[in-house]
Amino acid sequence: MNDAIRLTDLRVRYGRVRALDGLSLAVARGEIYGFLGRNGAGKTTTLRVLMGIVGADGGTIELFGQPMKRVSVATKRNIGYVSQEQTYYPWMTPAQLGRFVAAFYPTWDREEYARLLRVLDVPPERRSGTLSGGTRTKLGLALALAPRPPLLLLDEPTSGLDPVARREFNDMVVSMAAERGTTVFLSSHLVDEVEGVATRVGIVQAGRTSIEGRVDELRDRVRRVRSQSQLEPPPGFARVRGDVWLADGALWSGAEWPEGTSVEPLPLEEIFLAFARTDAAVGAAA
Amino acid sequence: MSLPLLRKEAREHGPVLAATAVIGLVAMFTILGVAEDAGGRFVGLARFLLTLGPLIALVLANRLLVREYTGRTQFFLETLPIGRARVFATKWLLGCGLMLLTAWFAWAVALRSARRAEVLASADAFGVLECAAAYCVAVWSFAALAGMLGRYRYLAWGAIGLAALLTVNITGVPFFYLPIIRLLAQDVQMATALPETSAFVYALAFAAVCLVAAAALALVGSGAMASTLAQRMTARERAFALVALIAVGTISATLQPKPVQPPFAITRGERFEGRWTRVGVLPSGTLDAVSAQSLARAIADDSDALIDVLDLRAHPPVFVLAQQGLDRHVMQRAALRAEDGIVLKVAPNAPTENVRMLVAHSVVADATLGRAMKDDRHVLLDGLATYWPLRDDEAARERWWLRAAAIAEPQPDDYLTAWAETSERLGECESLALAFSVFDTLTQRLGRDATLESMKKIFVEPKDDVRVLFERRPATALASAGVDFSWLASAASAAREQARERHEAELARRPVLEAAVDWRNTPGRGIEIETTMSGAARYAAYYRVLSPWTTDAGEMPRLDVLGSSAVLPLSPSRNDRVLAVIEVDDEVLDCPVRVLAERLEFR
Repeated sequence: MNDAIRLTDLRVRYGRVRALDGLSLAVARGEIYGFLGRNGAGKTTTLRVLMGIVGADGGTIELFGQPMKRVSVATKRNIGYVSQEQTYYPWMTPAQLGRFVAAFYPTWDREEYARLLRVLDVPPERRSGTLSGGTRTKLGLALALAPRPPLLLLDEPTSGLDPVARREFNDMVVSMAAERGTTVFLSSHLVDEVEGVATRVGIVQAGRTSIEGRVDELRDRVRRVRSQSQLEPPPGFARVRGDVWLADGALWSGAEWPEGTSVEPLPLEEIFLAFARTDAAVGAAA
Repeated sequence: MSLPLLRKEAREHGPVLAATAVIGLVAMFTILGVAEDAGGRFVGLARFLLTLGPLIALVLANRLLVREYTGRTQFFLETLPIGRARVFATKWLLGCGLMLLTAWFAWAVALRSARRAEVLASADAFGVLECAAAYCVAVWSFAALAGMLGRYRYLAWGAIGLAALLTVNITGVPFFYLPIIRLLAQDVQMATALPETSAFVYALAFAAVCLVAAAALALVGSGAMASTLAQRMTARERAFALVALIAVGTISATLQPKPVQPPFAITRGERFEGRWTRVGVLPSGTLDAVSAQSLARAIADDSDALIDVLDLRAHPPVFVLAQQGLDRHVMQRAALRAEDGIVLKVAPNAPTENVRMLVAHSVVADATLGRAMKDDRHVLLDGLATYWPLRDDEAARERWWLRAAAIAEPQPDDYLTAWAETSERLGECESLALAFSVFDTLTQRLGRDATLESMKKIFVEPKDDVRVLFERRPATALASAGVDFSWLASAASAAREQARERHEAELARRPVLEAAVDWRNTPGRGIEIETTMSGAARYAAYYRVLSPWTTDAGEMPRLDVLGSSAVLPLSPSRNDRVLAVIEVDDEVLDCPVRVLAERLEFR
């Protein structure tokens, strides 16, 4: 009941393509959840389901403890969304966009929007079509945050930004989430970005969640096992890919390894690469 | 409907829609102006809706629906707390509302224009509005569906245009009897009858199907179809569309030519079916059912006999609409295609022989594709048309000789072959009487059969191509009968002189009339034209500003004057040309006679 998002066995098909194939995850209220996956893994579809843009073919959606078949217009008023491409009306200025969007949100905070534009350095009277990609992304963030939503969905928002702008954007998200207690669901394929921001991470592969947990927890569970001999995973361990194994944290500390075997912790990027290149069922089974 | 979205649409598309509205207004007033001269009533409205209606719908669909998808801003809307269905419904209803507004405005302008010339029942006018509204809803629904087809939208428009063309060509169904177009057919244009209920049902069913299909494209599959369709056509698709277009065009070119279209059906009024001619007369006011039936029979007899003697191939149906409020001597013909028949609007107390003359005139004019009205034979057409209903009525013929006798002499040498000038100078009553005198003189010289044989050679259906240049000249046809225009002019003049002697007493009863037109240019008031009249207590002044290339003034605005002088309600500019005409009802001749016709130039 404390989850902001709970998706169970979510399924979405586009014709013959299974975009989501039994995806399950949970995001606690107030946390920043990093949603990692390769291109086409199902990240954007998941976010579109959460925004009610796409309907699910199966599974259950729970937002703020309310189960629903499809996210309703009323629920969307509690969600801020920044997409990977900002398709605003090019003839509208940020100020006009604010007035237009405000009409759809009863909780819209005009002063907060003006403040966000100032803080994010978005010129309010320039046409959005003439703004740079980074500024448009910041404009998207201002539009998403101005209604003070309890849930913020970010769909690879920084994919077109340079490293400096990306850092600024992420810092802004973190500080605002902390300040307001906003739940943030951040979808990305940039591991370092997620690692620096997220409190918990889920890795999606082929429409399913391969693994999820806190970053340190994942590091604790997934390790590289190097051995001079051909080793098979003992009971409780599973081979993710090659020499990357998955096990409960306690098993790693209690395990006895043959001589010449080294067990190394992995950075999140290595964990992501291992899970992103293998069958999602491995992680799910683990 | 969503108010914020409506405001957004107004801001986004306001300038373009305003420009479209301005262009539409110019086109509307131009079309209505032309149609007012050509056909009156709601002919202009129908032309406007048929030509500009689909264009306006196309612009609206492009702006409201297509642009949202091609600009990918539809996705931005979907991220907002507003349902996809509500977005679609708002845009569809907005487009529909703007189309209905266009229909209403065009209808109101056409109605105002029509009511300046005649009395029009509100029920009839509102019937036309219903038709226009149903037509616009159907057109908009299709435009919206085509818009949702994104890159294929022009193919959809092309396909429906081609389908209509093929239907007309293959099945022979007249264009105005196609579903939906039926709502703007001739009977609606003339506000004489509402189309059958099925016409509305077809149009609204078509609109409903288009609406459901468009909504399905917008909503089914989370709107993915519409988004996909909005992408640009690939080279392969463009090539396929081009090949398909050429193929369909080639196939349609090889199809059998369309059969002769059936004439329009006469379903109301007193009907009479002659051997060749079907006639309907709608009674009204003093023209009761018995009189209407009698008139219908007389028209059918006239027309059948004329078709026989001139061996005409065209057998047009005739419909006479008696309408109260019209002047007794004013008769108007609806601007329809010749094969659709002759539809006349007359006053209930109009002289029946004049109605019959106009029908005879129209039958011959249509059969000759209008060439009977060339200046070198127009007098013969007017003479034949005037003579024809009187051919077996000695008393009536003598009445027309009285009118002919009233014409001032001498006439110019070329008064028979410069007929446009003669008609303008004499006015309708006396020019017809003059033509009658010429024709009757001819029949007395040649005999009726030989005269009609000559007319048969003159009034032939012309070749509809370059061979028309080699047609036989009327003068040649007359010469083969042993007469020429010069002889005819002097013989008719002599015959009128004899008629003056016969009717001396009646002519003496006519008042002496004198009329004048003067103009003055005063500072602050500009050019004023004043008409003066003596010898009559009231008179009618007609006037029109002539464009540089105008030869025939056509129908002119009329000012009824009680008293001896009046300033015309006209403010011409320097270098304008104005035709001013003064007519007086002549009790002796029982028709309005033209006392003065003058072309003024303000230099």
